[in-house]
Amino acid sequence: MPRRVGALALKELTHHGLVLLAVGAFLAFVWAMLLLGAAIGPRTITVLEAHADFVRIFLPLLGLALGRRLVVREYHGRTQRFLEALPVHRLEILVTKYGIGLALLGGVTFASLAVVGAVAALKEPVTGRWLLVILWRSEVFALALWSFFFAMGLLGRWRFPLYLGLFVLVVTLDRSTDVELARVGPFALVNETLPLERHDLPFHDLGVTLGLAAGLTAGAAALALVNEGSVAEAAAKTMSRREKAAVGVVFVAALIALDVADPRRTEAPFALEGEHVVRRPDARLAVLHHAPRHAPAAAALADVLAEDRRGLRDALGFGPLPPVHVVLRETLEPHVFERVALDDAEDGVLVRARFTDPAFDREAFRAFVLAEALDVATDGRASFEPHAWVRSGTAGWWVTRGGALPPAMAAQAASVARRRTPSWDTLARWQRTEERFGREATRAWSTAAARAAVEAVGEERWLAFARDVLEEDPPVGALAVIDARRRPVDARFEEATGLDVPAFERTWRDALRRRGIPGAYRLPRGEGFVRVEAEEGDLRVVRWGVRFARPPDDGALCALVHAAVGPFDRPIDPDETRRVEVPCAELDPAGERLVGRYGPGDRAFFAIEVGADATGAPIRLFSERRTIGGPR
Amino acid sequence: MSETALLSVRGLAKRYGRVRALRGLDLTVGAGEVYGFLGRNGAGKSTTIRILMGITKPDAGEVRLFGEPTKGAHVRVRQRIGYVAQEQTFYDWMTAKRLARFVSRFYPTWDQSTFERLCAAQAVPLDRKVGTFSGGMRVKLALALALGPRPPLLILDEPTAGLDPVARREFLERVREDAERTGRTTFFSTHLIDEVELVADRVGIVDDGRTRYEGTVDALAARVRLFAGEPPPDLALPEGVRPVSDRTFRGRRRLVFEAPDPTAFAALEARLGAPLSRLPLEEIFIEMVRREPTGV
Repeated sequence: MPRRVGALALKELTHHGLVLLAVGAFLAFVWAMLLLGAAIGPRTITVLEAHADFVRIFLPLLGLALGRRLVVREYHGRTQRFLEALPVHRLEILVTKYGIGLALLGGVTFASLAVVGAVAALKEPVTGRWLLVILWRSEVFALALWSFFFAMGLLGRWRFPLYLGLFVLVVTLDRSTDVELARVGPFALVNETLPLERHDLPFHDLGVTLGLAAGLTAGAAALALVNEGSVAEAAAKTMSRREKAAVGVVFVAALIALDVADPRRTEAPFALEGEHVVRRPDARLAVLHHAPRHAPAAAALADVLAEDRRGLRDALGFGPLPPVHVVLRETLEPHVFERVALDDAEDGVLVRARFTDPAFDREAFRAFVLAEALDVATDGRASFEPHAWVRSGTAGWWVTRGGALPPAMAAQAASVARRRTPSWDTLARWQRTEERFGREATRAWSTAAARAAVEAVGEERWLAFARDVLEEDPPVGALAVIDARRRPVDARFEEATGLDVPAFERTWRDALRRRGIPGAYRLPRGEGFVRVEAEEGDLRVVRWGVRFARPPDDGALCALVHAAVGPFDRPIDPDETRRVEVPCAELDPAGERLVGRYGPGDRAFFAIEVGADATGAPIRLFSERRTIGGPR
Repeated sequence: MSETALLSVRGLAKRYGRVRALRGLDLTVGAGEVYGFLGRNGAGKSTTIRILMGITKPDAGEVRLFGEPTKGAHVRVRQRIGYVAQEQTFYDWMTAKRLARFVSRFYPTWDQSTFERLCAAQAVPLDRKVGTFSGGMRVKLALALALGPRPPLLILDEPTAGLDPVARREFLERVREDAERTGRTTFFSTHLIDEVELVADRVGIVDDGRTRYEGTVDALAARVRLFAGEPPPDLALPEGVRPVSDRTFRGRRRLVFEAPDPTAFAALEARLGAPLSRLPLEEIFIEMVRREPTGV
């Protein structure tokens, strides 16, 4: 038997060797692109995402191709009859094909993880257990995938209607039911947690997937062996015109039925309801407040926001910007603006602010709303590094053009400028700057940069640059990666404005110096600190405080902002953070205590902020991510 | 028939859905014989051969090859059989040489020199891809592959279908020559009588899934007679004679009789008052397998 199986396996490898080599070359290219994408992608949490993307997208394609090469061609060409007349069991033929397909798919999966894992290990704390968890999930998924395509291959011409039927089924489940496919069986193995889960194996999903694979394999064996293989042989015949027409008609009918029955068709787009809504339909804008006394402020805000949107849209030459829904929330701090996620990009942007408060920073809010609308208009791409500062800077410049930088924004920019020399890097590495200096200050920083650039090159050139970077239909996926490499943002800047990066940095520094921004504001100065002290057993105490070089305003609050973070350096959403506030004057010189929130092995984010009248928003003096020490 | 039965089939039955392909077929092939397995299209020849090869399982009956039941031993048995299928479904991307290398791994007795000699004798190019071969060339290659393992039994399933007359004749002569030279048992299925006359020592006629006749070609020719004319109205057939067909062709009545013992025809001739004539083998086959009731 080994000799016979060996002969069959050798035949398959010889037959498909060239194709496999070509596929191998293609996969190498794919890996390179995915790795590159994961390495420079702004949303990347770990490079291991490249492996997950490969498993989700390219493994099924490879399975499809292998099923066609190893199974469909044999039966369609009727060469299985030649094999069956040789001294070999039908089951041996079947097992050989199944084994080769599985070995190839499993091998490629292993190779993918090995390559990506090796690259990831260069810059991330990759552990053996972590890789093993990913390997198990990926390989069991590959097994189920191959069992599926193997069985489909034996279904011959009926596999096409089955693929179409499964497509319709998946779309139906996704649209019309609450079933989350990403949480079911094989799909759960390769969902968004695949590259992130470091410790636990999803035994239930593994079991379901293995059961599914066993069922599919048994079905495939039945197809190939029942009635001496006549079922698979009959199914392998080419589809007749009548059959093709019937399948086409049924598929189109199913799509039409799905479309008609789609609940989202009847779902009205998101809209603010109630008697206290100020609408500006031509600008796709609405402002919700709670009482007649708020109406004037709401109307004034709606007018200015509508004007901002119309003006910037025309200046950039974009189509209509996404709708904006502003909701008054009186429990927010006046400098805090919230954006709430809506289900559909068509629904636009929902933002909340306390716009009735006298301390409300209207210019900052206008810039915020414009930036968020640009974010939705570009499907979130405008928020990626290194584009984010262009989005924020353009919005900030647009609402402040024609005048001086508003005092609060100028003070916020100053809070950064006194600690950082204006540089392209502080803009391009947006997340790092934002984490270090806070959201409000970073927005003001980008506004100052954009204003300096406009002052140097004029509005038209800046708009040409912004249009290029924030284009409405930017390339996506691998094309975006290639595009980002081919035309980086600094090259685009130079192309559109005629200023190279060093010249821009000089211009920006001069502009800040001319206005005396770094030193013009009396802002608190000092060093924030965070220490973690071990107490009994695993108890850890976080001690925090500020050593002021220039004291804060009277009555200012000092705050520790903290959040638990995972193993990856992803951006931290403000909603994830907690805040402990203490009047600065009452700070314990030895440090305030935060007891027991974090234990050994946890990773946490800490920032220390101080309130300041000049900025309207707290100034961030310190921030860091740290792993809490001690045995776990 | 030789005394040693190399292949024997008893009561073979096979049904495909509602179609009964075999209804109790019996066959016996002696060692060293060339056996012509004759039948119309759909008579059950290919089903029988697929069962002999172990590709298809019978619903009932027993197959013995080389003196042993084949049940459960198909792979081992197949290693001793050379097989030429009706349709040559080779891998078109392989050359003849590569195909032989692939096939050789399944047969412990494979003899490369035999294969190459047969290819050379039949002008089969070894280094050309099989996909470029003509139908005749493919059949020749199939024969070389079947004989490469030097099997004691060669089974051919209507191998000459689609060949031109010259290629057909060359192929049959080669089969006959091989059988005479090596003493190999050859089981040869066809629906063409002249092929059987040219090649076979013995013949089995299968009709509607049953064996209609089994014996030598000469004995078959001797057991069937034709009477052309109007028989006496009160004709009673002598014992041992049975009517095969009764047809009127070009205004003349033609009665065909069969008697396992040809001496019985003397009594029939006496009752008819006229001599009976012999029929060509093709006529005999046609009369035996034609679905037509006799009026006698």
